[in-house]
Amino acid sequence: MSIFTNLFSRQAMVSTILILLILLISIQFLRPELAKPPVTSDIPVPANVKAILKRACYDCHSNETKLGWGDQIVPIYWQVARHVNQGRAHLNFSEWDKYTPAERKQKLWEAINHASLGAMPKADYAFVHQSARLSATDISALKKYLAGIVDYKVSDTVKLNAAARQYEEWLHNSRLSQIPVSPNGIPYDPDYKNWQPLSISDRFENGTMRVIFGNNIAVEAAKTNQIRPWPDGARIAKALWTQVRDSSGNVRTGTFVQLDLMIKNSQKYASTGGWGFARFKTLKMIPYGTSSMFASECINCHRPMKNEDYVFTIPVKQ
Amino acid sequence: MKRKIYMIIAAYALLSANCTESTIIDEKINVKASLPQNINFTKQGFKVISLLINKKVCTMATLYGNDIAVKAALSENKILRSGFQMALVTWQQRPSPYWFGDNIPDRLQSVELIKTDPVTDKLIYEKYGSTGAKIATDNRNVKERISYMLNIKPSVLP
Repeated sequence: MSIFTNLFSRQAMVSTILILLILLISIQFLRPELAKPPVTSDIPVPANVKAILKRACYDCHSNETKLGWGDQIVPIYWQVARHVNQGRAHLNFSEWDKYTPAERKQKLWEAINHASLGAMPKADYAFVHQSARLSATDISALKKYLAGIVDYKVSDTVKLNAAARQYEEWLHNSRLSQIPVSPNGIPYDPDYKNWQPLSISDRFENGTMRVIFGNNIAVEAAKTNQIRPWPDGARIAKALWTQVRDSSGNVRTGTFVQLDLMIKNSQKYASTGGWGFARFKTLKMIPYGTSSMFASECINCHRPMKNEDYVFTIPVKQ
Repeated sequence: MKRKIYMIIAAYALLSANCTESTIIDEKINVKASLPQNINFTKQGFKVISLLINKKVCTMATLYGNDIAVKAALSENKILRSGFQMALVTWQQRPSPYWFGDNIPDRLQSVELIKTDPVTDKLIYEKYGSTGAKIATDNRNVKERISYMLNIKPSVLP
């Protein structure tokens, strides 16, 4: 009897392995497409910076993807293909000419900041692809390059005039006939200017400056250290201006650019970290984004701050 | 070879876990920049009037005021009604730990307050240090500071 059982179980094991093997071989043919588009315009950066980008970033963020043999095996391939397709869609160093000069700067600063925050390369990807990891030396080389491309120019008359024009328009002629609404249903909140500031910021990297306001719930939460997570009902509004700079280093706010809103409702906005995002541009408060999908752009940039409940601002107690 | 296979298997296990490793130190509150307890802007109903940066000395400042001060700052003739209160809070700057290319408030440097005297309606100037203690100021300096604060152009806050 025991011989039979042994035989049976050994047979069962062999057939199970065989079935699994056949299954593994057959799923190898289920391969999502990983296109090989041409390099239209490679990012122009110094050789040392290029070397780091090529080694650590190019497999997912360029058209020069080089897959290892391990990457070719399904199901690993599925994950790698997803990384590459998503990576290229978000940032592609091989199609640098497709971005506006402002977008190029913004993408580069975001990329290196996300690397610095440990959000890039993705942990699961870097686990297998050791070469994608960025050392402290790599990060400081990238930052040194970025620091060199910052624009410290004194503001010209074009900028000054634009700011002066907008100021007059704001004072005399900028009543909104109705409250604008973001594509995800969040209305502009004109009350933000009566809130207390949580902090201010000098974003010299893109020549803007900001005041980050909090409503009463947010300000109270900061006062009592109850911000991990921020409580439901908390609202954070970031007003953003261009910097107007004179020759002695004094900077004041120039043109108002936009108001960014974050509204905490852990249930309603569960898919975007518990925060409802909205952005309203210019004096007319024109809602940003064409569909409610725009919020994924917001949460993607805020994701490295997951442990800080997706908020970059470190509140100052007022 | 064996190591690589193990790593692939482990990585695959991690994929479903969707883990992210964070390398940053969590800083909940900007303690050094926070205002001393004897200066409470929330209670006074102060609002933001303007935002300023000085790149040479690496400071940043917010100009606040009560409703009367906001109105005065936005008017051409700057008539100061009784009850006027305006405050300029200045911080040293430091790089944001979370965003390379961004500066945020560091140690509080001073809080300068101008208000109308309830009896004489004349302007009073007071300066406080980072601990909330009053700092003595000479008269010439006071005039200059009052004129500076009154002439700060408001930020566009639509």
